[in-house]
Amino acid sequence: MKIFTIPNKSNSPKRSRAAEWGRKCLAALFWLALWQVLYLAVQQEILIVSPVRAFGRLLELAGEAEFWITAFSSMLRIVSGFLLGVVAGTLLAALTSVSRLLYDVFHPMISIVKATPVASFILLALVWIESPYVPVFTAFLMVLPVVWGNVSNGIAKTDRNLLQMAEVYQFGIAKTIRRIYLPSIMPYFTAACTTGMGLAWKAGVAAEVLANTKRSIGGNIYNAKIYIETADLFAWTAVVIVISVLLEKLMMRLMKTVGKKYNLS
Amino acid sequence: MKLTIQDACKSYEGRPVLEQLCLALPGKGTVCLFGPSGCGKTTLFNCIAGLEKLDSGAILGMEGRRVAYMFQEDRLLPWINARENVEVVLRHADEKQAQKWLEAVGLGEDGDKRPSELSGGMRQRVALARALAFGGDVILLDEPFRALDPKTRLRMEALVQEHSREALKLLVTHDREEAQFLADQILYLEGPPLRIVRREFPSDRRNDA
Repeated sequence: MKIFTIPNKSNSPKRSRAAEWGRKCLAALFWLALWQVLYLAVQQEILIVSPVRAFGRLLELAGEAEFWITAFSSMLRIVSGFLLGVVAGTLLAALTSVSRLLYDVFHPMISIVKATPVASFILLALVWIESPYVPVFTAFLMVLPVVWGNVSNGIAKTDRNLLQMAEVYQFGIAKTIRRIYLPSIMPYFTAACTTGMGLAWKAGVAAEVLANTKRSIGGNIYNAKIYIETADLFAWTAVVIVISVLLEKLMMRLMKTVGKKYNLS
Repeated sequence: MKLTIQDACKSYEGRPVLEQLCLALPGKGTVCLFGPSGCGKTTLFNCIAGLEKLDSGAILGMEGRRVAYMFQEDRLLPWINARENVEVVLRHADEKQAQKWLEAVGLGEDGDKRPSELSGGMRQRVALARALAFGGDVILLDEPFRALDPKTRLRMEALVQEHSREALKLLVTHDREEAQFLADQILYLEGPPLRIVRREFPSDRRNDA
C-alpha cells in the first residue's frame, strides 16, 4: 500500500516568512498611523511633523552629496569608537580573567565608567580632546564596560569539564583558546556587540550634538534644534535609527558567518 | 615502568577521600577498579591524570608518560562534529586517521554529526575513539561502556584490548563479568577514604583454565 503525504502548506518556511513580514508591516503601519494621529491632534509643525513631511525631508536630504558625506563621517567616527571599545574590552577581559591583581585594579575603574552619566564624559572629553574625536571617545567608553563584562562572564562560565579534557589531551594554550574559550565566549561576545552598537550610536550622536562636530549627524540635529527645523530633526533621527539597525544586522550576519566557518557556535 | 602510588592523601573540605593510599600497578595490562560509587575512584583517576594535586604523598612512574582519560561524561566539544572531536587530540591534524578511529568504534557514517545529534551510547563511543586515537601510555577508563548495549559493549572491550596492548589500562566498572573478562588484576575497593579490600588476578585463572 502506498502512503501519500501532503505537505502542510501553512507550515512551509516561505509562508511563515511571508506571515512574519506581514506582521512586521502591520506593526509599522500601526505606529505610523499613531504618529499621524498625534500630528493631527497637535497641528503644530514646530512640535511634531507628519510622517509624510519627515520622510519627504529625508528624501530631499538623501538627494544631496553632503548628506552622504555627513552620514558616512558620523558612521566612521562612531564605528571607530565601537571597534576600539570591542578590542579593548576583549583584551581587558582576557587580562582580568587571568590575573586577580589586574581584576582588582581595573574593576573599580570599569564600575565608575559604567555609573558615570554620558553627558559628564562628553563634557570632560570636550575639555581634553578636539571636537571630532569626542564622539569616538564617547562611543569607546560606552562599549568598553559592556564588552568587558560580557566577555569576562563568558570566560568565567567556560565549562570546567572541557578545560580538564583539554589539559589531559595536551591541547596547549592556543588550541584551548581556539577550541574551547572562543566558542564558549561567542554568545556573550555577540550579545555585547549588539548592545554596544546601540549604545555607541546613542552616545556618539549625543557627543556630536554637544560638541557640535562638523559634518556630523549630531551637528545637523543640533542645527535643526537651533533653527527650529523640526522636519530636519525627525529626518536626521531617522537616519541614526536606520544606520544603527542596518549596522547591527550586518554585524550579526558577519558574526554568524564567522562562527559557522570557524566552528565557533 | 610500574606506576606506584605512595602514601597518597587528598581531602575535600576536611573530608579525606584518599588517606595514606599505597598502590603498586604494573607497567601494562588491564587493572579493573571495582567499588561503590563515591568511594574515591574518580579522585584517584584525576590525581593520576594530573588534574588534581595530592595534599601529600606521590605518584611515581608517570614521568614522560601520556595519559588518555575517558571521563564518566563524554566531554565532547559540542560545536564541532564527531570526526573533529577525535582529530582535535591528534598531534598532527589528520582527518583520515580520525575517520579510521570512528570506523573502529562503528561510527564511520556519523563523522559529520555534532554530539547533540548523537545518542548517549554513540557519544561515549566517540569519546572512546578519542582516547584510543590519543594513544596514551596510561589509559584511564571511568565506566566507559556504561551506556552501551551488550553486543556493542563486547566489541568496544575487544577494541580497547587490541589497540592498547603496551599501555596500562585502569578501568572503573560496576560490572563483575566485565571485570572478570577484561582484567589482569581486579582491585576491590571501599571508601571514602579509598582502600583496597581485596586483589584478584583473573588472568591467572584464565591461563590455568
